[in-house]
Amino acid sequence: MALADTVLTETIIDISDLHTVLDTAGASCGPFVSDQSYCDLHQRISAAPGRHIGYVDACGVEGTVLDQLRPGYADEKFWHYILNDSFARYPTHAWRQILPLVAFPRPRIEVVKRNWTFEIKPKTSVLLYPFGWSTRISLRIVGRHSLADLADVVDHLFNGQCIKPLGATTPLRLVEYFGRVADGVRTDAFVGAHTNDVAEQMPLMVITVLAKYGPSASAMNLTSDEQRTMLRLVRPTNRVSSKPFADHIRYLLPNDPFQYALVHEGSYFMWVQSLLNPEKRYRQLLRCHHNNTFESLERAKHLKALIANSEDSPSFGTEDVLVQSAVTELRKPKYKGKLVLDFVQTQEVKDLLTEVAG
Amino acid sequence: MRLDSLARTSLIGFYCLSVVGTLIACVTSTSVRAETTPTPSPTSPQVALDIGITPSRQTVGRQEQLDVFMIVTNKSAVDVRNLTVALFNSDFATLRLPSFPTLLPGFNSVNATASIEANPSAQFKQQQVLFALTYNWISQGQWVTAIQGSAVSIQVVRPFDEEAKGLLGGGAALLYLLLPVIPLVLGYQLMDRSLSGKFQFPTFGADYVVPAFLVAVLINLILLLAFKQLSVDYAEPSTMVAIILGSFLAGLGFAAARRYEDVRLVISWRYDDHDESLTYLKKALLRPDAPSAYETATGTDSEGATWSGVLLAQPAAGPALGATFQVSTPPPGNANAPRASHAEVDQVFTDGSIRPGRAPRRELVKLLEEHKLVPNRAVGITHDGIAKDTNVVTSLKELHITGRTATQLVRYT
Repeated sequence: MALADTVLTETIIDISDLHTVLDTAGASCGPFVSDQSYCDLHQRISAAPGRHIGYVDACGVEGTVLDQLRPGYADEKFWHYILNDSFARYPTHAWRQILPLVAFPRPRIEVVKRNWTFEIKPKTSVLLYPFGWSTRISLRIVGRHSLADLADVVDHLFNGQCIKPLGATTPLRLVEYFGRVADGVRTDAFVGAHTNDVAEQMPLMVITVLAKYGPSASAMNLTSDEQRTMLRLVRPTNRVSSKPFADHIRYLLPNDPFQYALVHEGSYFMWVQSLLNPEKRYRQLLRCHHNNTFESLERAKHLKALIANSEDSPSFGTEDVLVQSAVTELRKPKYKGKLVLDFVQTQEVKDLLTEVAG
Repeated sequence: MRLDSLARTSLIGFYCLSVVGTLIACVTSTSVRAETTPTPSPTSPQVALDIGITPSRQTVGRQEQLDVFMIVTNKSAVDVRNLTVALFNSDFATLRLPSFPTLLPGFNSVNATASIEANPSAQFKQQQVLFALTYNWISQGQWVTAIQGSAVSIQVVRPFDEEAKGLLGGGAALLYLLLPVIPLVLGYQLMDRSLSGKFQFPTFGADYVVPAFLVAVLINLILLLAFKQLSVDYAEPSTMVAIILGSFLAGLGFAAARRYEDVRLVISWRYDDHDESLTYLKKALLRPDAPSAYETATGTDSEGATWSGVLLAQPAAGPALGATFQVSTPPPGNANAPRASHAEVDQVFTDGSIRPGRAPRRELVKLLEEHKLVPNRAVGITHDGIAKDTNVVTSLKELHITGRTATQLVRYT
């Protein structure tokens, strides 16, 4: 296949770093430290017009980075898999079922582009759990671009100074931006600079092609150069992978070369041919597929980190209800997406769950 | 007086009788001389030649040369002159005749050698070849010509006649009877086995003998009835070549006619390792009896190498492996470039899969030929895990298939 003939017209990249807080005692914003206050906050947000409130309304002070607070869930199938109850009653389960909140960080950002003709539209948010958070950057790439261009974007995100907060003079590297937001979140939601938290080594990234022209990228008919290009989508480095290309492929349907995810550590590139259809219905389904995959992986990673750190956590010990809920959910994921099932089936997660059970 | 008259009457009678007798004798003598060569009177000298003719061998093949040794002995005292020899047998031709001395004195001998040749159409049988010697001598002042013949027996034999004698009685005849049938059977088998995809060199096994014999008899009978004057001469090399070649071609023809569909597949729908994408798809989708569904096969060949690809049937050669394809509309940009409309794509595909039936397949090929859709390989053929850069592989050595999974040969992406 001539990969160069594949013309992408819309692609979405979601990136999320993950932090797990070991000790929430003394958090500056009360609602994040107890079952009752957390559920009450969810109730308040759900009852508010537009289902959102300002950070200041929730915590009494102006947030350093956090602004508006919203429920981190919606009345959608995905969340009904997680919590099988009437959506109106979701706030009452917020603590026990580990339902997150979403805040919007300030300031907004823009992506500093190389000499690309396509647009990159960024959105940022912070997912808040009682035991941690993740800063999300969602990039929608619109306009004609190739898979090689997309790989360049990923490379630029991870290795370049690509994030420019509005009003700032110099762009930041991605890790720097995540660091800045993390500092703000520690201050706004936890115990400030003294927050005892651990971060995942690699951020989670999910890329999905939403629209294209020309041939599709087949997982089974790539030249070695094309394989290198594809691998750069999930592995933004010039170092040669020690694993064969086929080991990076997870077929979403058995042996379907057009329904697959390219996986490397926490990065996923998805090609879902069955939904790559210009019709609006398919477009929405594809977007949902992407969102569900990203959110399910992000949630699973959070839960795994919670369990993994529970032994060292003064606030969330192994007997804690949140940890127990996390164990239950990881043992039997309610949303059975292929990639999240793969994740909970990894030896690392299995060992962790066995260890907790023991 | 009475005595005188009696004597005179008797003398007159005797005279008359003598005259009549002389006249009759003269007339008779003249008529005999006019009809035959004068022969010496019993008192003339007798001439006798002893002619000994011996061929250098008793048998000869057509167009083969044979020397004939001659010894002529004049057994009389009379000189013989102008001795010449001539050959009398239409199946033989003279290559060289001996030239005898003009004079063969009495009680002398002369020897000579003649060379003759059996004609290309000489009959295969024992032939009597007559050598006629003509000579003259003088008898009572007159030249006398005589011809004396001597025949020799020469057998005109078929080629390999000697070899055929080594067979059991009637073997040669049986072989000649079977001669048109064996190439026919071999030609048939050659074509039939070639088309079956499992080629083996044809054989004429013992189980063919009886039917072949029957067919041979029937063929000969039919030929005899159809051409009453036909006499096939296998000893004629061109005839033999024509019979063998014609029979072989007839065998090929019978098999080809019987497996007409296979022949058509071989000629028009045979995959080639160098087939371009469009050619390959056309052959795979539109061939007669093209499968409605395709399978990806994995297997190993006789050398232990692993293969994977879409399982295809190569006419007269067993399995072949092919690639799967995706077709897509070319990217917009050039307004003049042809692009398939949604309606055209919908005619061929539903949810990316080709619609059942031949009409959508024909329409797909048409769109590809018009460049309104562009084909690209989706899943290539793999050989020991390495993708091959061809659309089809036909040279598979005894592929042993270990797994099959349903697949789509072509899909719209």
